[in-house]
Amino acid sequence: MGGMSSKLPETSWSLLLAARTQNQARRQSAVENLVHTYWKPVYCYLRRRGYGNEEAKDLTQEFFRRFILEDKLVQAADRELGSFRQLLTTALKRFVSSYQRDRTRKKRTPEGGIISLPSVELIGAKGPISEAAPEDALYYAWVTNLLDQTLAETKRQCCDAGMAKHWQVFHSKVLAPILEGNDDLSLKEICHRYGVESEARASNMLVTVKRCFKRTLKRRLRDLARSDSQAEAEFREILAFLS
Amino acid sequence: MEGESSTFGLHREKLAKLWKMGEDTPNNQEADNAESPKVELLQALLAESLSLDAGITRMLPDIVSVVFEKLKPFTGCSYREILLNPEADPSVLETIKNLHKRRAESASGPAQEVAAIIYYASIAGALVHHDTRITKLSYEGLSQSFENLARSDWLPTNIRQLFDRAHKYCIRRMKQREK
Repeated sequence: MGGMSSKLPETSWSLLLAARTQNQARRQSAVENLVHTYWKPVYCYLRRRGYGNEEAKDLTQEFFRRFILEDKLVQAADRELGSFRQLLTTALKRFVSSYQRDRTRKKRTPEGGIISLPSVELIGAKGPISEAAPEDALYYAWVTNLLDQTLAETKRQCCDAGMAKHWQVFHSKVLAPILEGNDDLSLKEICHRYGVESEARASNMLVTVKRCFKRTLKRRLRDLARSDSQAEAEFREILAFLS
Repeated sequence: MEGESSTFGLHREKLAKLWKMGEDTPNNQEADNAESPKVELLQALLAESLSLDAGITRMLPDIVSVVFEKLKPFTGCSYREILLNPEADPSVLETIKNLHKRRAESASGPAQEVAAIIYYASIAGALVHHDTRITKLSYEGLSQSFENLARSDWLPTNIRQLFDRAHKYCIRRMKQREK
């Protein structure tokens, strides 16, 4: 499935750099991309810090404006050479401290914000982060973000490579039981449903999609890290967080 | 996630199941590669069963009936099983070789490449298991081909090992010839 996309997604680091370019169009695109990708972890952190839905959304916008467009927050965090998540977390903590020190500071984010954030209530009363510490809420949202992006990209790769059926098999056998609580179908049922000639073939199809998922996840982790070893450590850390 | 349910809201143990697919384990430690369509095609071809179908019967004028009889015990076995089976008769391997030579000649892209893998694997099997060369290709040429194939990360481990053994076999034969 390699080579089916002519252009890999930019890394978050390159987007951060692009967000400070003089080129207006490029800056706008990079900013929107970063906010679109990372607003949820920031928002979840702020909600668990005690801010209500609307205030948390406003602060999310304001944070990204300062995080991306002003260097101070980034420079301070960047010295630590951590992963992108660590950079974002450190910058966010400093932002909240600064905000609490100066609540009279006028908001400089324009009405409507950098991008329009969804208006749905994200934190359910009995959700997995309803009682989580703010950092854990950020971490949780970060991980689910990463998984959603990885799954979406894996699906795209399958379809681009003419393997839509592979994705359907994988979705039915692996994803739907996890995401939707569906019954775990046997390979025999999968073969019958999708016209796959044998269980061995269906098994091979699953392996192919899983390999694609693994490659994509590892690449995304690497994009967010400073080194291979840091990416590997991040993988292990997240696995420990989820276990 | 486009058109799909999001993972946000799932409990951690469910997220862990998904996350673990990214783990390097013995089951998924086949080399990461950018050639999955070929991998998939090869796996499918290796899993195909030898059948005395049109592909084989078209070759009948070229093979004597005794070979046909030798093929029979292996009908229903996958190509993978036959290629790796030391008991597979050289004539069976030669039939598989010829069949996949024709497939490779009539195919293109990944399909051609995987047919060529089976072609070379048949030759390798005959050399390694029966000390028999079922091709007119020279040991020098074969040695080079087997060496390259043995290095191909996207091939299954046992097939790569077969190519590695065949490469070494060819080196030995070349050295014997020099004496």
